[in-house]
Amino acid sequence: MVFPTTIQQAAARPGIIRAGGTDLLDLARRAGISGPVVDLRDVSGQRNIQATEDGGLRIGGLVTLASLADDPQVAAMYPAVSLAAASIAGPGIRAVATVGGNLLQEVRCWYSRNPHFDCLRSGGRACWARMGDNLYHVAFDREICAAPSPSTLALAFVAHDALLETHDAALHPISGLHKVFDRQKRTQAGRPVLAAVILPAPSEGQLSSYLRVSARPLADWPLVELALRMDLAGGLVREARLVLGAVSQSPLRIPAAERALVGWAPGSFPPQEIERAIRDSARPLPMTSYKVDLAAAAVRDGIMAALENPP
Amino acid sequence: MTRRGFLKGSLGVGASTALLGRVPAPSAAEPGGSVAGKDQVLVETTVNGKPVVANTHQDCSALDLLRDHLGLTGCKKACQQGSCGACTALVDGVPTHTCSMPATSLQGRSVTTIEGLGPELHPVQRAFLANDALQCGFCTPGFVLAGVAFHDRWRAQHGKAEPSKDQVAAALAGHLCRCAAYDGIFRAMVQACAGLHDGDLSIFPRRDGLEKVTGKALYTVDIRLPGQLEAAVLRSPHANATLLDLDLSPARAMPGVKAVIALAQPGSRVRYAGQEIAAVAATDHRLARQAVQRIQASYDVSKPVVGFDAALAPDAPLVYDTSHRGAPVVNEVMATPARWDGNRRGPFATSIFLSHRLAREGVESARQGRGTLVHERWETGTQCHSTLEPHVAVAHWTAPDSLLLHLSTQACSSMAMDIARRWGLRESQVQVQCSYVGGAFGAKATLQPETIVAVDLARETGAPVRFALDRDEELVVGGSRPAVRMDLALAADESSALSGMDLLAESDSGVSIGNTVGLMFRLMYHNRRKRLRDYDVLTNAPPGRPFRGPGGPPAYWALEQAVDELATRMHRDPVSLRRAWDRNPARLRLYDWVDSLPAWKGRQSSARQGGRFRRGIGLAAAGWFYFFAPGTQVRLDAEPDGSIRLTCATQDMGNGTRSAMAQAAAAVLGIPPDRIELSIGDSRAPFGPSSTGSQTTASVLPAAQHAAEQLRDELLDVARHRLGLSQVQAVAGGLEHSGGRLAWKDLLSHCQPLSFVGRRQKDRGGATLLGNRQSRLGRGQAGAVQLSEVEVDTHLGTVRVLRTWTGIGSGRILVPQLALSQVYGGIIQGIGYALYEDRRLDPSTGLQLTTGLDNYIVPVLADLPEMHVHFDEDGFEYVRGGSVGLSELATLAVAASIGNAMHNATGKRFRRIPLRPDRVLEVLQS
Repeated sequence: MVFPTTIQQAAARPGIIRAGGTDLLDLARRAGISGPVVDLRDVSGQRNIQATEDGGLRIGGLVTLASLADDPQVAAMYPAVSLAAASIAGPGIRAVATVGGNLLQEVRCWYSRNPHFDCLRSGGRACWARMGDNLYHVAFDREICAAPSPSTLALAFVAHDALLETHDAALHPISGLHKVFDRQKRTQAGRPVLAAVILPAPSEGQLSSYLRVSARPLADWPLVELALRMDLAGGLVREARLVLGAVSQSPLRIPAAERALVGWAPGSFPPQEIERAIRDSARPLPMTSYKVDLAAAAVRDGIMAALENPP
Repeated sequence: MTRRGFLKGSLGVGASTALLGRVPAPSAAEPGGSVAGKDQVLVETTVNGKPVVANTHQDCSALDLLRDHLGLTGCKKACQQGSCGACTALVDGVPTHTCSMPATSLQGRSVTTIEGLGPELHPVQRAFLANDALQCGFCTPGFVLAGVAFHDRWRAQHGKAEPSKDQVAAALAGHLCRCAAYDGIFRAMVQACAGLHDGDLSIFPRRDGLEKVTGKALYTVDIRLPGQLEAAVLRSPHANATLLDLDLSPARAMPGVKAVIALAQPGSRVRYAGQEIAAVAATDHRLARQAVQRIQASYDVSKPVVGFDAALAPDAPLVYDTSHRGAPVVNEVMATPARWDGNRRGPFATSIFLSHRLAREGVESARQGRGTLVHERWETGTQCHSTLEPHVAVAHWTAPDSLLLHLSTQACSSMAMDIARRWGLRESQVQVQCSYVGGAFGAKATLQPETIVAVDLARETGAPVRFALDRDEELVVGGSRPAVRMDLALAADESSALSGMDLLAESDSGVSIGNTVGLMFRLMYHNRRKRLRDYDVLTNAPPGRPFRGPGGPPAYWALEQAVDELATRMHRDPVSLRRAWDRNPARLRLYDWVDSLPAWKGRQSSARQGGRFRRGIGLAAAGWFYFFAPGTQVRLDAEPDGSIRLTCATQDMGNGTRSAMAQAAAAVLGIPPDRIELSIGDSRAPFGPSSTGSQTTASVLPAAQHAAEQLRDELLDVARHRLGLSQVQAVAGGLEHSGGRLAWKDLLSHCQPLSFVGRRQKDRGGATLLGNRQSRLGRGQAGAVQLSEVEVDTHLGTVRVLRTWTGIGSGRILVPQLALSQVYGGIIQGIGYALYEDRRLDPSTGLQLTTGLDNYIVPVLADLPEMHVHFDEDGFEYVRGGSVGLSELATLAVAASIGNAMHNATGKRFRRIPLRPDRVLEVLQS
């Protein structure tokens, strides 16, 4: 294993990139094998949250979830990001886990993590969840692998049109997360390494929120999660982002629902239209139609929550 | 599907890490970063104030470094994936799950473990002791460290203000207590923050509490003997297969591997995924796991039977096709003979003195309109014990015919007997030790493969061998409460008398047999008009094991909701109907208590509620058997220096055995219980009860009392005859005589060392004929009533239990705080059973999917309701000591009361648990 001191060095080295390592340790344990590790422990930068010139924030990839959740600037400017960070796992994990690790973690599918199942992610040819027990899998089915995107932060970043900064200072829209950080190339020397997430300046009076639905009140995976952002002009919604998580292979925007929010004053939205937009884009698996109901309910509640937490 | 080794994860990376002492730091970074060997790396850190340099592996966790290389066993390895917090240490002052932090990340950091607190107790530790915020104690160091960090930060910011429940729950999220001591933990945190424990340590009720809050208690997983080897097991990745070929030689050829043994022979059937195939002993755990992966096993794989429907399909493969001899038994008792029909075995008819004909007539009559009938199908899920300390054994043959076994068990004495029998030894040649047991709940009562593997490998290698299950193994083979589906017809005649109860219960305990759900239906509502049939449905799943009140929670889930439904349909008050049917004296008194509760009297009907959140209160009743171990003996040794020690080969798995014994003897002598020393957890001591069937207290209490009475009488004799005192009579703490007072301690100074054996004497009126010296069924039954208030989020399908009221009728309460802890734990475990706990198997392969505490969900502190407990202490005066057990009683009716509360809240009947959001929404939409 190597301990590069800059992320540029890290990008040049072959091996799995390890930041907090909270999940990689478990994966290595389960698989019984592990390859070379490029550990970012000694990288000195990328651990800060800084204001950008245009009034946004630059969040280093090695910032811990605890620091992100506790940062007063983030809480004031981007409530959705702050709430999302605070909802992940428990404090004992948030102290170690990082922004980059959260964005680029492996899926939490109980088939793909079980070494006895060879699935699409481990070189097999079938998705076991699709044929088997898919209670916690996608309900807005978009790709072959049925595992939902595991990153809670990704949701909030998509809601804010965040940019990803790689080690070479290039900027990429967050929507391209899995294209930029191609899982197939994740151990190859020369693959990109995340430097930071750039959040654009929030507009005047911007509303945002994050909402998580879990069976257990704390320290549980979401069944459905929602990040919401609304930019206002003249008291009416000018632009909206409505992003669902834990229900699709990527953080899922529902454009029809976003359009339905535009032009209305907060608190007077057309609920049927939004719900229809959500239900129309759903493609549940045999066991996940409940997630569509939860998503519809979460959106209703999420809008209310956004109104209750003005910046 | 691959044929790689089953559950082969879990590199206990440790052993390749050696503590080197103080050596130069790693060389400065070369271009591209510093390189520290292929996968080895030096870490320089500070632990509990001392500098440490360790050579560690890239996949080694901070926990491995702290535990295995620094011997800091207060950090516990439990979930291995950051879900439970038992491994917590403070890293630069911040509570951190060290199992999920690479050891390399400790570079330049400062670590404090539980051993590093002190030497004075921290206010949080004192608060934990005072509030009995622990039971088995395995999770306690983690909770204490997270609590210390929260407390110190809180006090700095808020002075002595009390934190809210939400604030404490958020700070301790990610910490699991399987005993569910959350009420005490919450109270302890509030009191510590409020400054109530800044002073000296007050008296505390739990005898082994101090060892547990300081991390000094050594559990079996913490045992490290010189030259100890580590074991790992190859498990079948197939649920239904024949083992064709087994080649152990590649594993044997590995350096460091000391023994490899086959646990299954070619040609033998594999009946569940996870079944043991072979075992390895090696110099470290990581190596043992690697060796397991080298073993070549080939199988002829067949389609497995997963779940009830697959098992009962007309063309289902047979789980036991040729012989079912040797099928494991799910309960502690022998399975009664029964007929096999394909994959269904039964019925085990609980029918003595019952009339099937009258039952059917009553049901039929109600069906035709003469009376009222509730006929429903009820279903429960499979619940895993998942004790935080896994199943673990450390075996050491100290001579060819002498075995020392450290074992995490709830049956110290009887396990030693079973082991002696299996390995052809005399009982005196086997010593089982279990000073501290990190939870059991029924799963650690019988001889299981983990013990056999450790003992056989230790014999083969001539060295001590430890075998500890990893969490995924623990969840798969560590034990479970079977899934049950019940078809229940319950009828009342026109005078609302119970006129018929017809039950067909099917239990899926995998490859094991002997389920007895029907017994509970027999126990309740004394009546001949019952037809109770129990079937085992055999599937290719791991065997079930007894779980706190075996058969009870599923049975009451059905019965008590059916009674409630019947009352609703007959427009009868649920309490008055039960009172009319019930004959249990304890419960009859408890019904009066229920009627006196304002919350119950003021409950609303579901029809009067609207809106998103609905609240409801539900009642359920339960009964449990009274067991005791007639062979129990407690030895009392009294020394001239005044010390008094009680010795018994029983154990304390968090139930408070030590405290109950001390209290019983102290009460006889009128001295504080902390004056009495205790020695338990060693099978060489006089026979002690296994902690099963809630029999521990009813067994050790009278024996301890009897021993103390003998000491008292002896000392009175000494005073009268040797010291020539007159008008001698016992008083608290000693005796009075014509010339004044003498303390027992003073009298002992006149004596040689004294020793007495206290026995578990017979109850007035004797006991039943059922049982033996190790466990006998006593007369009379304990009774309980349970009320729960729920809040249902009708949008999201989530359920919270807000308040509970529990009435317990199990006789005299000896140590009230510990009895409360047991009841609280039982309630919260019942909440987990009702809301969350859900073992899941892949339907096509039978491989278990829920292999971690991240997807096998158990309650957290945030689930803690406001709990009210009422003890009715009458009615068991004929029992020696006046007490029967309550541990199982406390959990039996919880799920059922939640079901009835759900009905009260929503007007809908929920027939399946766990009450997952998807199911709740489905029922609400129906």
